[in-house]
Amino acid sequence: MKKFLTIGLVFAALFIQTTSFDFFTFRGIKPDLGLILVIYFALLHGPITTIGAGIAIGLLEDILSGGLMGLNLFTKPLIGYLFSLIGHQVVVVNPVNQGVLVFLGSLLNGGLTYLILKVTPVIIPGKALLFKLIFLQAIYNGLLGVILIPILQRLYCSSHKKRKSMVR
Amino acid sequence: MPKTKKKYKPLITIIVIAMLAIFLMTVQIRTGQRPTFIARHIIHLYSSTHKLANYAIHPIIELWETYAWLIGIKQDNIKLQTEVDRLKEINNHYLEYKKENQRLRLLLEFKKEASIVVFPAQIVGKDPSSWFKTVIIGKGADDGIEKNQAVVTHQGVVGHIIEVTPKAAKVLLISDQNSSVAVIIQASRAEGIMVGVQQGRCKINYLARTAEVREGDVVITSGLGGIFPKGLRVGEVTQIKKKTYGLFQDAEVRPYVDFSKLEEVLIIR
Repeated sequence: MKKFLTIGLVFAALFIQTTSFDFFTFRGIKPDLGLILVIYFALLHGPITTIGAGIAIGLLEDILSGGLMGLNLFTKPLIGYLFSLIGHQVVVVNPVNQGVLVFLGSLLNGGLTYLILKVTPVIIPGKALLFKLIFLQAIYNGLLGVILIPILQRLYCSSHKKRKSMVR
Repeated sequence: MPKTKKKYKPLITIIVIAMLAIFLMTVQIRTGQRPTFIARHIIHLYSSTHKLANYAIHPIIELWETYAWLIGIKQDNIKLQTEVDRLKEINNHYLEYKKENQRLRLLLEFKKEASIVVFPAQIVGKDPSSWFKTVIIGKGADDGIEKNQAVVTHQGVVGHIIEVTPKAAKVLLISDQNSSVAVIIQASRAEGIMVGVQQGRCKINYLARTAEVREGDVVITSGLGGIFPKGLRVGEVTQIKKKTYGLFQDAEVRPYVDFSKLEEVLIIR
Protein backbone atom coordinates (compact mmCIF):
# COMPACT_ATOMS: atom_id res chain seq x y z
CA MET A 1 0.00 0.00 0.00
CA LYS A 2 2.81 2.40 0.97
CA LYS A 3 4.64 1.66 -2.27
CA PHE A 4 1.56 2.35 -4.38
CA LEU A 5 0.92 5.58 -2.49
CA THR A 6 4.53 6.68 -3.05
CA ILE A 7 4.32 5.94 -6.79
CA GLY A 8 0.93 7.65 -6.98
CA LEU A 9 2.25 10.76 -5.24
CA VAL A 10 5.28 10.97 -7.55
CA PHE A 11 3.03 10.88 -10.61
CA ALA A 12 0.48 13.26 -9.08
CA ALA A 13 3.22 15.81 -8.27
CA LEU A 14 4.55 15.63 -11.81
CA PHE A 15 1.11 15.83 -13.32
CA ILE A 16 0.26 18.99 -11.37
CA GLN A 17 3.70 20.42 -12.12
CA THR A 18 3.34 19.96 -15.88
CA THR A 19 -0.35 20.52 -16.22
CA SER A 20 -1.54 23.04 -18.76
CA PHE A 21 -3.37 25.12 -16.16
CA ASP A 22 -1.02 26.99 -13.82
CA PHE A 23 -2.99 26.44 -10.66
CA PHE A 24 -0.01 26.68 -8.33
CA THR A 25 1.86 29.41 -10.20
CA PHE A 26 1.96 32.64 -8.23
CA ARG A 27 3.27 35.77 -9.95
CA GLY A 28 5.38 33.71 -12.33
CA ILE A 29 6.85 31.58 -9.56
CA LYS A 30 6.22 27.89 -9.96
CA PRO A 31 6.65 25.69 -6.89
CA ASP A 32 8.73 22.55 -7.15
CA LEU A 33 6.27 19.93 -5.93
CA GLY A 34 8.71 17.13 -6.75
CA LEU A 35 11.31 18.64 -4.45
CA ILE A 36 8.81 19.11 -1.61
CA LEU A 37 7.90 15.44 -1.98
CA VAL A 38 11.56 14.37 -1.94
CA ILE A 39 12.24 16.38 1.24
CA TYR A 40 9.11 14.97 2.85
CA PHE A 41 10.33 11.42 2.13
CA ALA A 42 13.79 12.35 3.39
CA LEU A 43 12.51 13.64 6.71
CA LEU A 44 10.01 10.92 7.44
CA HIS A 45 10.66 7.80 5.35
CA GLY A 46 14.37 7.04 5.31
CA PRO A 47 17.04 7.17 2.59
CA ILE A 48 16.00 4.22 0.40
CA THR A 49 12.46 5.49 -0.31
CA THR A 50 13.83 9.03 -0.69
CA ILE A 51 16.50 8.09 -3.20
CA GLY A 52 14.03 5.96 -5.16
CA ALA A 53 11.51 8.80 -5.30
CA GLY A 54 14.30 11.30 -6.08
CA ILE A 55 15.49 9.20 -9.03
CA ALA A 56 11.95 8.78 -10.38
CA ILE A 57 11.05 12.46 -10.00
CA GLY A 58 14.41 13.68 -11.31
CA LEU A 59 14.39 11.40 -14.34
CA LEU A 60 10.76 12.13 -15.25
CA GLU A 61 11.29 15.89 -14.84
CA ASP A 62 14.34 15.71 -17.10
CA ILE A 63 12.42 13.79 -19.73
CA LEU A 64 9.46 16.16 -19.69
CA SER A 65 11.59 19.29 -19.49
CA GLY A 66 13.33 20.88 -22.45
CA GLY A 67 16.45 21.59 -20.43
CA LEU A 68 19.60 19.67 -19.70
CA MET A 69 19.03 15.92 -19.47
CA GLY A 70 20.39 14.59 -16.17
CA LEU A 71 20.14 17.89 -14.28
CA ASN A 72 17.27 16.89 -12.00
CA LEU A 73 18.47 13.30 -11.91
CA PHE A 74 21.61 14.69 -10.29
CA THR A 75 20.06 17.20 -7.87
CA LYS A 76 16.88 15.53 -6.61
CA PRO A 77 18.29 12.21 -5.28
CA LEU A 78 21.35 14.03 -3.88
CA ILE A 79 19.26 16.54 -1.93
CA GLY A 80 17.00 13.72 -0.81
CA TYR A 81 19.99 11.76 0.46
CA LEU A 82 21.47 14.76 2.30
CA PHE A 83 18.15 15.57 3.97
CA SER A 84 17.56 11.93 4.86
CA LEU A 85 20.75 12.17 6.92
CA ILE A 86 19.05 14.98 8.90
CA GLY A 87 15.85 12.92 9.12
CA HIS A 88 17.92 10.02 10.44
CA GLN A 89 19.40 12.13 13.25
CA VAL A 90 16.40 14.20 14.36
CA VAL A 91 12.66 13.69 14.07
CA VAL A 92 11.19 16.86 12.56
CA VAL A 93 7.48 16.91 13.34
CA ASN A 94 6.78 20.63 13.62
CA PRO A 95 5.31 21.82 10.28
CA VAL A 96 7.17 25.16 10.55
CA ASN A 97 10.50 23.39 10.96
CA GLN A 98 9.59 21.14 8.06
CA GLY A 99 8.84 24.23 5.99
CA VAL A 100 12.22 25.73 6.93
CA LEU A 101 13.93 22.55 5.77
CA VAL A 102 12.00 22.62 2.50
CA PHE A 103 13.14 26.24 2.08
CA LEU A 104 16.77 25.24 2.68
CA GLY A 105 16.44 22.26 0.36
CA SER A 106 15.03 24.51 -2.37
CA LEU A 107 17.91 26.94 -1.93
CA LEU A 108 20.35 24.05 -2.25
CA ASN A 109 18.51 22.75 -5.32
CA GLY A 110 18.55 26.21 -6.93
CA GLY A 111 22.24 26.68 -6.10
CA LEU A 112 23.20 23.28 -7.49
CA THR A 113 21.14 23.84 -10.65
CA TYR A 114 22.82 27.22 -11.14
CA LEU A 115 26.31 25.78 -10.66
CA ILE A 116 25.69 22.90 -13.07
CA LEU A 117 24.22 25.19 -15.73
CA LYS A 118 27.07 27.65 -15.20
CA VAL A 119 29.68 25.07 -16.25
CA THR A 120 27.68 23.97 -19.30
CA PRO A 121 26.99 25.91 -22.51
CA VAL A 122 23.31 26.25 -21.52
CA ILE A 123 22.36 29.93 -21.17
CA ILE A 124 21.19 30.79 -17.66
CA PRO A 125 18.73 33.57 -16.78
CA GLY A 126 19.86 37.02 -15.67
CA LYS A 127 20.59 37.98 -12.03
CA ALA A 128 17.16 39.46 -11.27
CA LEU A 129 15.44 36.35 -12.51
CA LEU A 130 17.87 34.08 -10.70
CA PHE A 131 16.80 35.72 -7.45
CA LYS A 132 13.21 34.93 -8.30
CA LEU A 133 14.01 31.43 -9.52
CA ILE A 134 16.08 30.49 -6.50
CA PHE A 135 15.17 32.62 -3.48
CA LEU A 136 11.50 33.45 -4.05
CA GLN A 137 10.78 29.93 -5.25
CA ALA A 138 12.45 28.58 -2.10
CA ILE A 139 10.16 30.77 0.05
CA TYR A 140 7.12 29.60 -1.89
CA ASN A 141 8.23 25.95 -1.61
CA GLY A 142 8.81 26.42 2.12
CA LEU A 143 5.34 27.88 2.67
CA LEU A 144 3.77 25.15 0.59
CA GLY A 145 5.82 22.59 2.53
CA VAL A 146 4.26 23.82 5.81
CA ILE A 147 0.83 22.96 4.38
CA LEU A 148 1.63 19.91 2.25
CA ILE A 149 3.90 17.88 4.52
CA PRO A 150 1.32 17.40 7.32
CA ILE A 151 -1.26 16.45 4.65
CA LEU A 152 1.14 13.89 3.17
CA GLN A 153 1.90 12.54 6.63
CA ARG A 154 -1.80 12.17 7.40
CA LEU A 155 -2.28 10.40 4.07
CA TYR A 156 0.45 7.88 4.90
CA CYS A 157 -0.86 7.38 8.45
CA SER A 158 -4.38 6.68 7.22
CA SER A 159 -3.15 4.21 4.60
CA HIS A 160 -1.08 2.49 7.31
CA LYS A 161 -4.12 2.29 9.64
CA LYS A 162 -6.26 0.88 6.83
CA ARG A 163 -3.67 -1.80 6.19
CA LYS A 164 -3.53 -2.68 9.89
CA SER A 165 -7.30 -3.02 10.10
CA MET A 166 -7.27 -5.20 6.99
CA VAL A 167 -4.66 -7.52 8.59
CA ARG A 168 -6.80 -7.83 11.75
CA MET B 1 29.42 -7.66 6.29
CA PRO B 2 25.83 -7.49 5.01
CA LYS B 3 25.16 -4.79 7.66
CA THR B 4 28.03 -2.66 6.28
CA LYS B 5 26.71 -3.24 2.77
CA LYS B 6 23.26 -2.04 3.83
CA LYS B 7 24.77 1.01 5.53
CA TYR B 8 26.56 2.14 2.37
CA LYS B 9 23.82 1.17 -0.08
CA PRO B 10 22.25 4.67 -0.25
CA LEU B 11 25.64 6.32 -0.69
CA ILE B 12 26.68 3.90 -3.44
CA THR B 13 23.32 4.43 -5.20
CA ILE B 14 23.80 8.20 -5.04
CA ILE B 15 27.30 7.95 -6.53
CA VAL B 16 26.08 5.68 -9.36
CA ILE B 17 23.11 7.97 -10.11
CA ALA B 18 25.31 11.08 -10.03
CA MET B 19 27.67 9.46 -12.52
CA LEU B 20 24.77 8.49 -14.76
CA ALA B 21 23.41 12.05 -14.59
CA ILE B 22 26.82 13.50 -15.48
CA PHE B 23 27.05 11.02 -18.38
CA LEU B 24 23.63 12.11 -19.70
CA MET B 25 24.57 15.80 -19.43
CA THR B 26 27.88 15.16 -21.19
CA VAL B 27 26.14 13.31 -24.03
CA GLN B 28 23.76 16.23 -24.53
CA ILE B 29 26.50 18.86 -24.44
CA ARG B 30 28.83 16.89 -26.74
CA THR B 31 26.26 15.87 -29.33
CA GLY B 32 23.86 18.81 -28.99
CA GLN B 33 21.03 16.26 -28.88
CA ARG B 34 19.01 15.17 -25.87
CA PRO B 35 19.41 11.43 -25.21
CA THR B 36 15.95 10.11 -25.98
CA PHE B 37 16.21 6.34 -25.74
CA ILE B 38 13.77 5.99 -22.79
CA ALA B 39 12.27 9.45 -23.13
CA ARG B 40 10.32 8.60 -26.30
CA HIS B 41 8.14 6.01 -24.58
CA ILE B 42 7.68 8.04 -21.40
CA ILE B 43 6.65 11.21 -23.29
CA HIS B 44 4.26 9.14 -25.40
CA LEU B 45 2.70 7.61 -22.28
CA TYR B 46 2.61 10.98 -20.56
CA SER B 47 0.93 12.79 -23.47
CA SER B 48 -1.74 10.09 -23.75
CA THR B 49 -2.47 10.22 -20.00
CA HIS B 50 -2.42 14.01 -20.05
CA LYS B 51 -4.88 14.17 -22.94
CA LEU B 52 -7.30 11.99 -20.99
CA ALA B 53 -6.86 13.92 -17.76
CA ASN B 54 -7.20 17.28 -19.51
CA TYR B 55 -10.38 16.02 -21.12
CA ALA B 56 -11.77 15.19 -17.67
CA ILE B 57 -10.55 18.36 -15.94
CA HIS B 58 -11.37 20.84 -18.71
CA PRO B 59 -15.08 21.32 -17.81
CA ILE B 60 -14.12 22.17 -14.19
CA ILE B 61 -11.53 24.71 -15.32
CA GLU B 62 -13.96 26.23 -17.79
CA LEU B 63 -16.59 26.59 -15.07
CA TRP B 64 -14.07 28.23 -12.74
CA GLU B 65 -12.83 30.61 -15.42
CA THR B 66 -16.36 31.59 -16.44
CA TYR B 67 -17.31 32.64 -12.94
CA ALA B 68 -13.97 33.97 -11.73
CA TRP B 69 -13.52 36.27 -14.70
CA LEU B 70 -17.03 37.70 -14.66
CA ILE B 71 -15.74 40.50 -12.43
CA GLY B 72 -15.01 43.55 -14.53
CA ILE B 73 -16.50 41.98 -17.65
CA LYS B 74 -18.65 45.05 -18.38
CA GLN B 75 -15.65 47.38 -18.58
CA ASP B 76 -13.82 44.80 -20.69
CA ASN B 77 -16.81 44.62 -23.01
CA ILE B 78 -16.88 48.39 -23.57
CA LYS B 79 -13.11 48.40 -24.11
CA LEU B 80 -13.31 45.50 -26.57
CA GLN B 81 -16.18 47.09 -28.49
CA THR B 82 -14.10 50.25 -28.97
CA GLU B 83 -11.18 48.08 -30.05
CA VAL B 84 -13.40 46.18 -32.53
CA ASP B 85 -14.56 49.47 -34.09
CA ARG B 86 -10.99 50.67 -34.39
CA LEU B 87 -9.83 47.36 -35.88
CA LYS B 88 -12.70 47.36 -38.37
CA GLU B 89 -11.46 50.69 -39.62
CA ILE B 90 -7.90 49.45 -39.86
CA ASN B 91 -9.07 46.25 -41.53
CA ASN B 92 -10.86 48.27 -44.16
CA HIS B 93 -7.61 50.08 -44.96
CA TYR B 94 -5.80 46.76 -45.17
CA LEU B 95 -8.40 45.35 -47.56
CA GLU B 96 -7.74 48.30 -49.82
CA TYR B 97 -4.01 47.72 -49.63
CA LYS B 98 -4.53 44.01 -50.30
CA LYS B 99 -6.48 44.69 -53.46
CA GLU B 100 -3.92 47.19 -54.58
CA ASN B 101 -1.17 44.70 -53.86
CA GLN B 102 -2.93 41.98 -55.87
CA ARG B 103 -3.23 44.32 -58.82
CA LEU B 104 0.42 45.31 -58.63
CA ARG B 105 1.50 41.68 -58.35
CA LEU B 106 -0.41 40.81 -61.50
CA LEU B 107 1.07 43.79 -63.27
CA LEU B 108 4.60 42.89 -62.35
CA GLU B 109 3.97 39.19 -63.03
CA PHE B 110 5.23 38.22 -59.65
CA LYS B 111 4.91 34.59 -58.75
CA LYS B 112 2.56 34.04 -55.90
CA GLU B 113 4.31 33.18 -52.67
CA ALA B 114 3.91 29.55 -51.67
CA SER B 115 1.15 29.51 -49.07
CA ILE B 116 2.12 28.33 -45.61
CA VAL B 117 0.73 24.96 -44.59
CA VAL B 118 -0.26 24.89 -40.94
CA PHE B 119 -1.88 22.28 -38.79
CA PRO B 120 -3.14 22.53 -35.22
CA ALA B 121 -1.90 20.78 -32.10
CA GLN B 122 -2.95 20.85 -28.49
CA ILE B 123 -0.65 21.69 -25.58
CA VAL B 124 -0.58 18.64 -23.33
CA GLY B 125 2.06 19.67 -20.83
CA LYS B 126 4.38 22.40 -19.65
CA ASP B 127 7.97 22.28 -18.50
CA PRO B 128 8.08 21.03 -14.90
CA SER B 129 11.14 23.16 -14.23
CA SER B 130 11.06 26.93 -13.77
CA TRP B 131 14.47 27.24 -15.44
CA PHE B 132 13.33 26.37 -18.94
CA LYS B 133 10.33 27.39 -21.01
CA THR B 134 9.09 24.51 -23.10
CA VAL B 135 5.73 22.91 -23.77
CA ILE B 136 4.74 19.46 -24.97
CA ILE B 137 2.27 19.21 -27.84
CA GLY B 138 0.08 16.21 -28.52
CA LYS B 139 1.33 15.63 -32.07
CA GLY B 140 4.56 14.01 -33.14
CA ALA B 141 6.50 12.41 -35.96
CA ASP B 142 3.49 10.26 -36.91
CA ASP B 143 1.61 13.46 -37.75
CA GLY B 144 4.46 14.84 -39.83
CA ILE B 145 6.10 16.96 -37.14
CA GLU B 146 9.80 17.50 -37.59
CA LYS B 147 12.52 19.16 -35.58
CA ASN B 148 12.95 22.92 -36.16
CA GLN B 149 9.43 23.53 -37.45
CA ALA B 150 7.97 26.89 -36.45
CA VAL B 151 5.10 27.01 -33.96
CA VAL B 152 2.65 29.92 -33.99
CA THR B 153 -0.83 30.96 -32.88
CA HIS B 154 -3.20 33.48 -34.44
CA GLN B 155 -1.57 36.04 -32.10
CA GLY B 156 2.02 35.48 -33.15
CA VAL B 157 5.13 33.34 -32.90
CA VAL B 158 5.27 30.77 -30.09
CA GLY B 159 8.57 28.93 -30.66
CA HIS B 160 10.02 26.00 -32.53
CA ILE B 161 10.12 22.21 -32.25
CA ILE B 162 13.22 20.91 -30.46
CA GLU B 163 12.39 17.27 -29.84
CA VAL B 164 10.06 14.87 -31.60
CA THR B 165 8.66 11.51 -30.50
CA PRO B 166 6.13 9.50 -32.54
CA LYS B 167 3.07 10.92 -30.74
CA ALA B 168 4.32 14.12 -29.07
CA ALA B 169 6.83 16.91 -29.55
CA LYS B 170 8.57 19.49 -27.41
CA VAL B 171 8.44 23.20 -28.29
CA LEU B 172 11.04 25.70 -27.10
CA LEU B 173 9.19 28.95 -26.42
CA ILE B 174 10.62 32.25 -27.62
CA SER B 175 10.61 33.42 -23.99
CA ASP B 176 13.28 30.85 -23.06
CA GLN B 177 16.76 32.29 -22.67
CA ASN B 178 18.15 29.58 -24.98
CA SER B 179 15.86 30.59 -27.84
CA SER B 180 16.94 33.08 -30.50
CA VAL B 181 14.89 34.37 -33.41
CA ALA B 182 16.06 36.63 -36.24
CA VAL B 183 13.66 39.58 -36.27
CA ILE B 184 13.10 42.97 -37.87
CA ILE B 185 11.34 46.05 -36.63
CA GLN B 186 8.43 46.44 -39.04
CA ALA B 187 8.57 50.24 -39.28
CA SER B 188 12.31 50.89 -39.53
CA ARG B 189 13.33 47.48 -41.01
CA ALA B 190 16.15 47.32 -38.44
CA GLU B 191 17.38 43.77 -37.92
CA GLY B 192 18.28 42.05 -34.67
CA ILE B 193 18.35 38.79 -32.78
CA MET B 194 15.58 38.29 -30.28
CA VAL B 195 16.30 36.17 -27.20
CA GLY B 196 14.06 35.20 -24.33
CA VAL B 197 14.50 36.74 -20.91
CA GLN B 198 11.78 34.60 -19.30
CA GLN B 199 8.71 35.92 -17.50
CA GLY B 200 7.12 35.87 -20.95
CA ARG B 201 9.39 38.70 -22.14
CA CYS B 202 12.05 38.92 -24.82
CA LYS B 203 14.94 41.19 -25.76
CA ILE B 204 16.35 42.18 -29.14
CA ASN B 205 20.13 42.17 -29.26
CA TYR B 206 22.42 43.51 -31.99
CA LEU B 207 20.02 46.21 -33.05
CA ALA B 208 22.04 48.88 -34.86
CA ARG B 209 22.50 51.96 -32.70
CA THR B 210 21.55 54.20 -35.59
CA ALA B 211 18.27 52.36 -36.23
CA GLU B 212 15.11 54.25 -35.38
CA VAL B 213 13.19 52.19 -32.88
CA ARG B 214 10.21 53.44 -30.92
CA GLU B 215 8.12 52.00 -28.13
CA GLY B 216 5.10 50.25 -29.61
CA ASP B 217 6.90 49.28 -32.84
CA VAL B 218 5.81 45.91 -34.20
CA VAL B 219 8.45 43.17 -34.34
CA ILE B 220 8.22 40.53 -37.08
CA THR B 221 10.37 37.57 -38.09
CA SER B 222 13.02 38.32 -40.69
CA GLY B 223 13.10 34.86 -42.25
CA LEU B 224 16.82 34.48 -41.58
CA GLY B 225 17.85 31.32 -39.75
CA GLY B 226 15.54 29.11 -41.77
CA ILE B 227 13.08 28.20 -39.02
CA PHE B 228 10.50 30.99 -39.13
CA PRO B 229 9.07 32.28 -42.41
CA LYS B 230 9.45 36.00 -43.00
CA GLY B 231 6.79 38.38 -41.72
CA LEU B 232 5.28 36.52 -38.76
CA ARG B 233 4.17 38.82 -35.96
CA VAL B 234 6.27 38.37 -32.82
CA GLY B 235 5.51 41.20 -30.44
CA GLU B 236 5.89 44.90 -29.77
CA VAL B 237 8.72 46.98 -28.41
CA THR B 238 8.07 48.08 -24.84
CA GLN B 239 11.41 49.62 -23.89
CA ILE B 240 14.58 50.75 -25.62
CA LYS B 241 17.93 50.59 -23.88
CA LYS B 242 20.59 52.77 -25.49
CA LYS B 243 23.89 53.10 -23.68
CA THR B 244 26.17 56.12 -24.17
CA TYR B 245 28.69 53.88 -25.91
CA GLY B 246 28.74 50.80 -28.17
CA LEU B 247 27.53 49.86 -31.64
CA PHE B 248 24.17 48.46 -30.66
CA GLN B 249 21.03 49.23 -28.72
CA ASP B 250 18.75 46.75 -26.98
CA ALA B 251 14.98 46.66 -27.11
CA GLU B 252 12.63 44.86 -24.76
CA VAL B 253 9.77 43.08 -26.49
CA ARG B 254 6.42 41.96 -25.17
CA PRO B 255 5.36 38.97 -27.27
CA TYR B 256 1.80 39.00 -28.62
CA VAL B 257 1.33 35.47 -27.38
CA ASP B 258 0.38 35.04 -23.73
CA PHE B 259 2.38 31.92 -22.91
CA SER B 260 0.55 31.31 -19.64
CA LYS B 261 -2.71 30.83 -21.54
CA LEU B 262 -1.49 28.70 -24.41
CA GLU B 263 -3.83 25.84 -25.21
CA GLU B 264 -3.64 25.25 -28.94
CA VAL B 265 -0.91 26.08 -31.42
CA LEU B 266 -0.32 25.87 -35.15
CA ILE B 267 2.73 24.18 -36.61
CA ILE B 268 4.11 25.49 -39.88
CA ARG B 269 5.21 22.80 -42.31
